[in-house]
Amino acid sequence: MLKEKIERILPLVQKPARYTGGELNSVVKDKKTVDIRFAFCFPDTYEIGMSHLGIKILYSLINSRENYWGERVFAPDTDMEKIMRERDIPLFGLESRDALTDFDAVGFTLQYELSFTNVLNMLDLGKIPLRSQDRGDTLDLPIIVAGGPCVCNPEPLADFIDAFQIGEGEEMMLEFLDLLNDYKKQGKPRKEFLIAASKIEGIYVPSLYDVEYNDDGTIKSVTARCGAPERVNKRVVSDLDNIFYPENFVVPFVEVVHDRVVHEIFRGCIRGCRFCQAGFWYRPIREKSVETISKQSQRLACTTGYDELSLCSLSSSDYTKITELLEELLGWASPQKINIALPSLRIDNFSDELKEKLALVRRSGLTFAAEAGTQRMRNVINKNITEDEILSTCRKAFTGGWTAVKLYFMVGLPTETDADVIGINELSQKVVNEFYNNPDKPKGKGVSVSAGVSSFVPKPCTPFQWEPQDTKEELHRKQQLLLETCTTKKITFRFHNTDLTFLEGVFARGDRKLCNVIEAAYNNGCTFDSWDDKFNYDGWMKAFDECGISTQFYANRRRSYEEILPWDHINSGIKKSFLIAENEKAKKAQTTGHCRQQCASCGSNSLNGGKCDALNKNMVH
Amino acid sequence: MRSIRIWFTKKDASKYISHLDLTRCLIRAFRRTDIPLWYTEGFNPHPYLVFGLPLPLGVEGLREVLDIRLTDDSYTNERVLSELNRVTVPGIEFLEVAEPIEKNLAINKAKYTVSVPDVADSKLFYSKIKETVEKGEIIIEKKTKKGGIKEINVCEHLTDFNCSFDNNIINMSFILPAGNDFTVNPVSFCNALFSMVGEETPLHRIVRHKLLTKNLLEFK
Repeated sequence: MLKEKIERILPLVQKPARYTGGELNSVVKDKKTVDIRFAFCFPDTYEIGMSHLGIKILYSLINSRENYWGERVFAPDTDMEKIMRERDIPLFGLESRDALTDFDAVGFTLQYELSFTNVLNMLDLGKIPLRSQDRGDTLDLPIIVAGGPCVCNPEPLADFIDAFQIGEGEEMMLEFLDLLNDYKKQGKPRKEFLIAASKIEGIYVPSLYDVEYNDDGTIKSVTARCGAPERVNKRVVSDLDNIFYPENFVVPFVEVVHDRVVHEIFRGCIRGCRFCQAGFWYRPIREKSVETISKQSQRLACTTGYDELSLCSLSSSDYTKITELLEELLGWASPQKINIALPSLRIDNFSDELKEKLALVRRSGLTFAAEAGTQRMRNVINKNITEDEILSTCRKAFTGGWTAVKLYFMVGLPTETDADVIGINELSQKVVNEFYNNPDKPKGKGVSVSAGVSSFVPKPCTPFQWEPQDTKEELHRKQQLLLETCTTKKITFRFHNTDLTFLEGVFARGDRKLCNVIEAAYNNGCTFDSWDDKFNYDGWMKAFDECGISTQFYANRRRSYEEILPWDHINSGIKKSFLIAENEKAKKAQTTGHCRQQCASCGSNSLNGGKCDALNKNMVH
Repeated sequence: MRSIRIWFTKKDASKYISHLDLTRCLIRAFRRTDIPLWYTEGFNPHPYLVFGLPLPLGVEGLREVLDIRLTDDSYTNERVLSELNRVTVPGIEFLEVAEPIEKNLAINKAKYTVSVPDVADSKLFYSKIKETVEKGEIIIEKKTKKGGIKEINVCEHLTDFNCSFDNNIINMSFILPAGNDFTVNPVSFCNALFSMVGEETPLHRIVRHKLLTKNLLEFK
């Protein structure tokens, strides 16, 4: 019945191949012979979700078990959703076209705060009660799990998710499903399963934690019940060479955002930029060997037919053997007409040798994350690059034939003055001058500097987790200041929508009181909040009003070091004392060297048996 | 170097792969084989694939055509066929590899069938369809090459129309112009026809059976 209903609406929607399944390497199993069915939900459209590496890894991982079947589910686009609601078609798995309620577990990946309403919308479309407490006492309705970087602070979704998977999923996911399989077979109650699951390292069951508040709205205490751990450790995979990696990727029919082989070359980041959540959250450093990367990528290129391989990490040029890796990869990729893309390069170690290798790799745009306009500001955020390094790299690039440079900046950083903001203009102007002063510049062409200026959002698990976010008005004023002080058409500015930034700021450091707000906003029609054209600011403001919640309390308030933070019971491994020390250094504009220069004792290796590849390998760039 | 013509199906869910996506999908399929596909020369070489006639989105094809060139003359047609079938996706099956006989420009018409499996009062629906086609005026809008829109009467171009009713299933078959110069989209025809019959567009399946030349011979 459902299959036929779906078949009937496919001709009526845009890009139906997003809803048909049947792509190369997608996995179809006989549902009668599988024990556990898992629906992997990405709370955004197919094109975005199919670009995500994590979903590919976990999809293959689950399906590598003969008796488990993992399927994919994406947020239907607006036209599809409308028809599904009109015709009472529940959200379904792409592989089986069965409704979400037919699954044993439904998992969401939380990549950005502004996808939270889509999670609720997908649950609702799947006819699953939004709140965990309304899902009954049995395991009949699917267990709702969530993972991804946002679970660094899972609290704003605490009422909707049965269990969070904190950290890396390659091992935790199967342990979780094995337990679910056992409990289902024995017909045990839902709550008993959740209590047992909370004993798995990395699993956080929010309903087992009681939160008490002070009169001023801050947290008084968080108490674990039923034997759940007081603090939930982030799960860390120890050895990337011996951990599961897919032999193939599902290859979509429609063009998606990242349509290529992706290979993660290492996890973590040695840099310690103080604004960067990923830089701390994904620690400790673990590198994959050249041999493993090469062997696995070659296999993937073979099984997918992709003509591009992208190496991914937080800072690719910090991979200790990057030149050797590129040599090895180019050895087999070039004859097969496969391009290698190397995003996330840092300015300071963009060596000549590397540039030579990259010349063999197809040239893409040149993008530098300078992050701030003045040296003082860059010291505050510990972005350890100097103006000279930026300019000399641009000089080399211009000599090499580049004429367009993208620079990324932020405004609204802690301790920022107007001089720092104007510094963004000055630095961009110096890049323009560098072009015209270069005798070897490309002939007959002008230069274009595109400055992407985003607004700083203080994030949990960073040294700035206590800092107030600039108000919308202040961010807007700084954007105007940039426009007013810019005197050339060679520089173009792109700004982030401050309404979105502001909302992201509220949810990044939110607590459980925000669950009501998310549900209210969803009821006011908010979905796809990260899409500029779909973002409904008024719906959100109305929701905050209805729930009596002050946005200022979450976004623009300075926390004291003593305050219990909503995510304090999630242990990222990073010590609070380290974050406090880094925050104090930031106030004095003092920098901290990268992890290979000197270990700053962040503590993250405590979750990896004391191991960290930044300590073991003393290659210094 | 030699040219070969590949015949394939585009059935079931693969009918929802747009023509642009089909091109990328088949390029990747070739890359998963050892077929010595010829790439265009020049600064930015790309694989050379020429399709006989794109299928409209949602229409299935039983005998679609694709021309490629092989850089290695000794690579056999049989091997091309087995390699492609080894790596293909559901719905796309490779049927035959042969020498191209006619130029693609010789494609002039196509034979289609449409089946309507379940409508509430199928007998009535069937007779209304026959009646409407017999009246001889079914107007569709068609984009002109200059970007304008003109109205055409499908019945002036429709030949060999048959409609039968069997086991509550309505089956139509017909031939419509399909080629480089002039094409009538069977999807537009069906939508116009069903809207004139006055019901909500029923679930239906459009299949292109074969490509024909001007003289109604099978394109080879």
